[in-house]
Amino acid sequence: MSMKGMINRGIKGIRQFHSIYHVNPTIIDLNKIENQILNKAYEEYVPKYGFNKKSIELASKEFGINGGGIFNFTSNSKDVKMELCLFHLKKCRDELNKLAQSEEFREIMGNNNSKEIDRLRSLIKYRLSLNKKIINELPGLLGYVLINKDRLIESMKELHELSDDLTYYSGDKSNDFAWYSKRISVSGLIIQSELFMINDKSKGFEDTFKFVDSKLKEIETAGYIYNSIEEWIFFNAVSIVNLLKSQLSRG
Amino acid sequence: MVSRLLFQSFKRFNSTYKGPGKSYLPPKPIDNKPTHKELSPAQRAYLDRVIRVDQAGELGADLIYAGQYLALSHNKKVKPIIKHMWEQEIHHRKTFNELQTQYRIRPSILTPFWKIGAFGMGFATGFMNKEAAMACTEAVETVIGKHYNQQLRVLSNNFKDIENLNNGQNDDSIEIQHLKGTIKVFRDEELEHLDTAVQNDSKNAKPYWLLTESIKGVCKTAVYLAERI
Repeated sequence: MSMKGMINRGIKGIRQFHSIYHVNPTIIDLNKIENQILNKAYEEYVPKYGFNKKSIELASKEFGINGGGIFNFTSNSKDVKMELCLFHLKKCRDELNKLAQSEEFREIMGNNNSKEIDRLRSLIKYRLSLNKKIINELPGLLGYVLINKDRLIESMKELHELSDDLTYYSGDKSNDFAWYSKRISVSGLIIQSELFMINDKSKGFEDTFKFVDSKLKEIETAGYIYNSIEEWIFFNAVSIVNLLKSQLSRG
Repeated sequence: MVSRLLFQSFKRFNSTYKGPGKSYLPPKPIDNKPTHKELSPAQRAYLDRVIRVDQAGELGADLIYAGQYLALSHNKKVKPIIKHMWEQEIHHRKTFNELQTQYRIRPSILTPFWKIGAFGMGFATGFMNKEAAMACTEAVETVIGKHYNQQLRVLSNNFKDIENLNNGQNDDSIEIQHLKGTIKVFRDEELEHLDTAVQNDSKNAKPYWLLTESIKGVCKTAVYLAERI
């Protein structure tokens, strides 16, 4: 695939213009037959057989379709296993969306005492806890979506959507380059935590959550340092000009 | 004492400060329910571009005037003129910042360059002389005014086919109406700045042609880039 094709495929489908007055596109459109199959496979067969062709084939059978051939026409990857992995990621994002729409969450958002970083922390932990029910399949899933070039593009797109959702729901209002640094840090944090989670044997994944806490603290400090430096440079530049002007006008 | 004075002079330039102002956004729909059908991918992509480029443009405008103000604030005649235009640009920038976060638009990735470039351009032209600063304003506002007009044309022509869920007719949602209204007001204010610049001898700048045409070229390139990346 050419470079331009790769970029186009990477960008296509990334959420644009989240409307308030218009209906927004859904994360998973369950009116589509392929999503119904994926949903069935994910709910009923993945716990037994994992993220495999077999899960899809068994689910397809219930809809009277033979095998996973339908995904040749409905997906970019033409790869049933990949579609099933992506479905897990999208499903989790959908759960996050539901949480963000709930009354309790809106109350927390409306409360001025809660800080953005705290909301982000609890959202990330919520997202990670969604991995619990497929924790045995997680190493295979991560390995599969990250290892091949084409699959990496698809999964990075999904990762970007996730970190964008997380930062937005936590109340992000950044207007400049901080928009990018926040999302990139969150994406990195998610991947690191998921890799950490695979080997985490502690009860209720306490160690993973501690890991998230320490990493988030690092991100917060880095942001504070950047802002302080920018402010300091601007302050000094303006002061120097004003000082020079006052000296010059005295003649 | 000295540090306090310095801090105050800094505060004047800290134009990104968000005070407890009124809302710049359209009112929320009743029960947070959508009133209109889905926008097409092309329409969403267009709105995405519009808000990104306008936000970057207003950021640039704000910082150009900040640079000019820094260079020319000793001039008692010019100071209030630039200050007035600057304050309007601050309002524009805040509005588009709010719209950008509300509609979840990605800001331009080149924002750090726009900041440095715009402040530098404002300061450099202001440092040359008052006429050069006004010529810079004239060039910038010409490009921006035209660009806003172009956006208004597309917003009124290409968004007619969206069905209202309440009465089944095709009309503009409050969102689109608000965006059009905002752009209209801002365009008029930008053109007002253009008139102000011409009234304040922008045409006497030397070299007038080179200055205005190169600044126009820079603005057009910036618009092209900010729409896309």
